[in-house]
Amino acid sequence: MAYRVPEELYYTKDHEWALVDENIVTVGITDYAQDTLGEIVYVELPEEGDKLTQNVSFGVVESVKSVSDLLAPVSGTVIEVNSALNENPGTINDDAWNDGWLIKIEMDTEKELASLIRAPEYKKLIQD
Amino acid sequence: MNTLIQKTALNESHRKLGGKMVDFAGWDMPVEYSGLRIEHMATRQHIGLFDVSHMGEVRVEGLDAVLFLQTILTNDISKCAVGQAQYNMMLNEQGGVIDDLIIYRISENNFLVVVNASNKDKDFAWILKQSKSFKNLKVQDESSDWAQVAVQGPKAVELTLELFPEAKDIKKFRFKTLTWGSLEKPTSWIVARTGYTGEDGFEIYGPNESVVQLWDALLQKGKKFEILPCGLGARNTLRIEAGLPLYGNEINDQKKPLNIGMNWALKTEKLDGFIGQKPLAQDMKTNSGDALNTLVGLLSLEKAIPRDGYPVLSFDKTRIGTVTSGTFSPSLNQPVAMALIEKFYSNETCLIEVRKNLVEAKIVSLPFVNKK
Repeated sequence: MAYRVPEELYYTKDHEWALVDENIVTVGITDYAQDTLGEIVYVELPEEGDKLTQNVSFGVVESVKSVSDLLAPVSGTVIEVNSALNENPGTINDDAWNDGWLIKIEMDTEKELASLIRAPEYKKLIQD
Repeated sequence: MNTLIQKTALNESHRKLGGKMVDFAGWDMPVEYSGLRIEHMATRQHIGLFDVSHMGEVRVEGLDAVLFLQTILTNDISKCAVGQAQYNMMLNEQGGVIDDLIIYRISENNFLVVVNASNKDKDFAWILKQSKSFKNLKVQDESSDWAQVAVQGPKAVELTLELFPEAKDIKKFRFKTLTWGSLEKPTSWIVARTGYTGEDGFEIYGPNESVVQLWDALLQKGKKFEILPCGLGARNTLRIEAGLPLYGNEINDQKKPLNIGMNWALKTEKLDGFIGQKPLAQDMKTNSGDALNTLVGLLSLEKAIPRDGYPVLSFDKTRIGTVTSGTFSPSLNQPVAMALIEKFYSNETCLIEVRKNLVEAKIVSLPFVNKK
């Protein structure tokens, strides 16, 4: 199956995506991730103001089948949480790239973006 | 691609049906097709069709077959008539579980022993080793010869009868060998009124080369009943709702399988002693060791799902047990879990440690979903 992988985003090898707008990073999970997990029934997200560290878990996403850690693509402070997901976690399955976003982070340093991967590499990762 | 991964005869069918394939115990199996929840509900409300050809089949035959099975299995084999299926545990010397399995008594001295895919090699090695001291006995791993499909759900019997009209008087935990197929090439199938979903239905065993035809016929004739092919995901959520143990979760080789709803299959008074009988009887008689725990259902009052391994605590934060299986229950529309907890814990609620949080849960008896 071919998954859509938007060119403009950054990715983690753990299947989170990151949309970078100046120093604000919006984070979600990829289409591949949501499809692999299956129907998502619960998301546990941090609170506004929480400090995150790159590659450290900031929450979990649960499908009927399994529970997966969400890893922060960058370090920083949570400035917004998609609280609509509490009631409708399935939005992540329906629209992983847009309405299914998880949190917005004010990142500490742009330098960390260098350790994320871009679309071509991510595409390769999910094809293997 | 791992070349060692095994495929059932239905592998192509799964791919054509859009099955999401995963490696399960070395088998390339569908975890879901159209979605776990709708497959689960199709089985509860209509019919679910499952490929379970990855299960292992061991033939045990000969004049010593009954005596042999009596010594390696916990149930009373002499009570299993020809045409009957019987649930059993196979224990190690310490009373831990090597596997749980179902025996089908094909004829007086001929049994088909159906074991978990993940344990098949270990099981067969154990069975072979134990068989050495019996003279009139042949044991053979026939796993690669057999395909198996499960037809489960409230309409499953009606559908199965369309293919196998003689199946109508097969009672629960009984089976018949019946013929189905083209006129030129009729095929023999073992049609058994067994299952792992908590629903009525059949498990049908037959040859690999004919199973695609059977699968297609069941899907085709099942359309009017809203049949859905179901993956291993729904198989797991269905068995959890039904309170049925799964090897590796509720049972393993470290624990005696006491008080998990299967005590009826542990015949510790059996005269033909079985391996593991003494430690098992000891715990039961003295009410100690593994007899101190019991399998219960937990209904979480939060949205987070308790998963296997999560600690179960009393309200004063004392550890009283461990979650063995957890999922989101499609039928109840809430998280549910099975847990082994202290038998004498008398409170109606407890706490589950879900990652860094303690969530409250109600203790209920199993099964969660009772179709009786």
